[in-house]
Amino acid sequence: MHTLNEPVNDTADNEVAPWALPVRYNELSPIEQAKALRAAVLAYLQARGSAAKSILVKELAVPRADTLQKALDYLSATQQIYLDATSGSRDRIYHSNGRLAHPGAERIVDCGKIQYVIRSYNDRWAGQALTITQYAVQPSGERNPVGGIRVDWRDVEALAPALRESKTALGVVVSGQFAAKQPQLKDDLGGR
Amino acid sequence: MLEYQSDGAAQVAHTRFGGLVRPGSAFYPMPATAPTPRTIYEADAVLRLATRQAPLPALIVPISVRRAVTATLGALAGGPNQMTLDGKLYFPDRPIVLPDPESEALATGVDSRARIQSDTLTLPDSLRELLQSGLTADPKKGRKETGAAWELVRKDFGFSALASWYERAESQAKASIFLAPSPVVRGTSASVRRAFDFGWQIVDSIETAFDAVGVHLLLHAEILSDDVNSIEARGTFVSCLIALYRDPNPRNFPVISIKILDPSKSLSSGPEASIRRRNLGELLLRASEAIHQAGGLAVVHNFGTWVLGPLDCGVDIVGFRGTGRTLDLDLIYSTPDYATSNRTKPSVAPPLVAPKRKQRIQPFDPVRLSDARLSEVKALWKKSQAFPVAKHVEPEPFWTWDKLRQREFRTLQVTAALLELGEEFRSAGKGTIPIRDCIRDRVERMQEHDAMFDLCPSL
Repeated sequence: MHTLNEPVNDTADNEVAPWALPVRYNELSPIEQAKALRAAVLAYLQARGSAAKSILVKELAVPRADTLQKALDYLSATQQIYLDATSGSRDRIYHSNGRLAHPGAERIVDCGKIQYVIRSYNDRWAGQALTITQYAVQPSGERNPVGGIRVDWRDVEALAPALRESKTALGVVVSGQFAAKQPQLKDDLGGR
Repeated sequence: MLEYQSDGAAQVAHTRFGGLVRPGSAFYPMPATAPTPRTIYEADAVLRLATRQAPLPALIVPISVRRAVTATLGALAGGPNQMTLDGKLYFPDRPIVLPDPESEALATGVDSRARIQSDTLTLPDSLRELLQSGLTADPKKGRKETGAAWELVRKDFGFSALASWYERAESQAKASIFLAPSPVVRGTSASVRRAFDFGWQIVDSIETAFDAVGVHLLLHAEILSDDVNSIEARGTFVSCLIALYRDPNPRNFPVISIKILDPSKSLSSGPEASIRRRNLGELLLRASEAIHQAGGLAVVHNFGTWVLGPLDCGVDIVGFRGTGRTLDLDLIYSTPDYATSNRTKPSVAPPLVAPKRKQRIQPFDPVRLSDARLSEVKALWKKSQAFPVAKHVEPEPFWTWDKLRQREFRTLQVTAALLELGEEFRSAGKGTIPIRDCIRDRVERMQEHDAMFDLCPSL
């Protein structure tokens, strides 16, 4: 019997685990190394469930722990995984988002050079959640993830009107500031 | 993001009638025939037909020519949709764009291999390794067998850099569906499992948002033969597709794209052609049934004038080239390397050279879906100023034009005829005449009866 995060040798000797780092990892370019590491972390969390950073370092046999930290930061910033920060532990636990709830529940919102992707997840362990990821769209059509947030399904109802209200309030504040500056602007122009 | 909505009023057949829906924005009627423009003639023909409001639910863009195609097709292939002078959009119903990842370039020396190699300066090492492999190993030239090369890439480099390159290329092709390349499927079960395994690994490592994702499978024609290994491999192929919905963690809206690699033309000629075509029809039928069960989308490429076969097997999108039937792939005809080959040098050309035949572009018959006789077309034109043309094409005396324009006209005819066939098939599914009778009627008017009788399960 083994505990949840105890490494288990469930692959045959001749098989490569889906989360194994490439043999020639050190020869890859830094960008390729980063991509390989992120893919390995995602594959591990999806296949084996939530894991602490120390477990990931051990299982993925990462040459440098700080490189892994960068990959984890990127993945959690873009909401591909999420971080349990409530425990206050130094060895934090990272979770996979689970599986997509339904393809129909996924939306891509095109806003010119920015694109927002809304995905819904329904997982037995992770619960029901919704992520909003922001992508920067290059003129060539290439899209790169920039950042995002993760919201529990229960909180969406409260969040949506709050966002709308914030926008309205912000509009009032901005237009108010502009209106307040109008007399000063008029004085600067000599009353014209 | 994308969903399939079945048409409840359509007939019950092997085929699934309905459409792809992007909630709130678009509807793409299915099943569809989709042009795959790889040359300037083909891209131009597609654009002209779209301008004339021809039905065009889907478009396939090969990644090695993505820039040329998107430059020609512009607004149609996902660019900004401009307006006409009267304030209407040029293309209100734009097609759904699928990529053709051209996995054949990673297995054999086809034209697209050279184009991909010269595409960017920063090809990842993993892709460079695969582009040097072949269907057979040649240690003298340092060439690895393609399966071994894929295994090596997986172990040494991983798929993240390869996935990232394809992700960028398919984004540039304005594709809304991501299709991952995979190693060629030979006549063994191991190669089938490897293709699915590697393909899904690539899909799982992409970061960009697409409307849907899936695997592009390149099937070598040897999987269609009747030997024991091939039969077992076909069984494994279908069971891998069944796993898409039977496994505890099913794939959401999987897109499975299939291309046939048949360099020896064993599907169109030779003693085994009929048997292989029957096996292909059966495989497509079982595969599309499993994909539909998984709630996904089935796509096949380059069926040309045989598009009716996969449509009747239940495939949702059937790709074709404007040049006609292209199940075999165009190989690179390079000069042989005499230093390493055992062959002797070619003898000097004989002094008596046969007179050069005048190059002639054959007209295309949209009814029989085959080449027509120029003399008959000329006679018809002389008699009534008309001859059989596809919908959205005007009959014109093309034989008086220069060769370039003649080739353009032929491509336009082929593309329009095959798009019209797709539209006919969709309306037959909604009609009252049984779909089987409609197919029989259409096949009887076509020239290639034998191939269609082998491929269509309804006949």
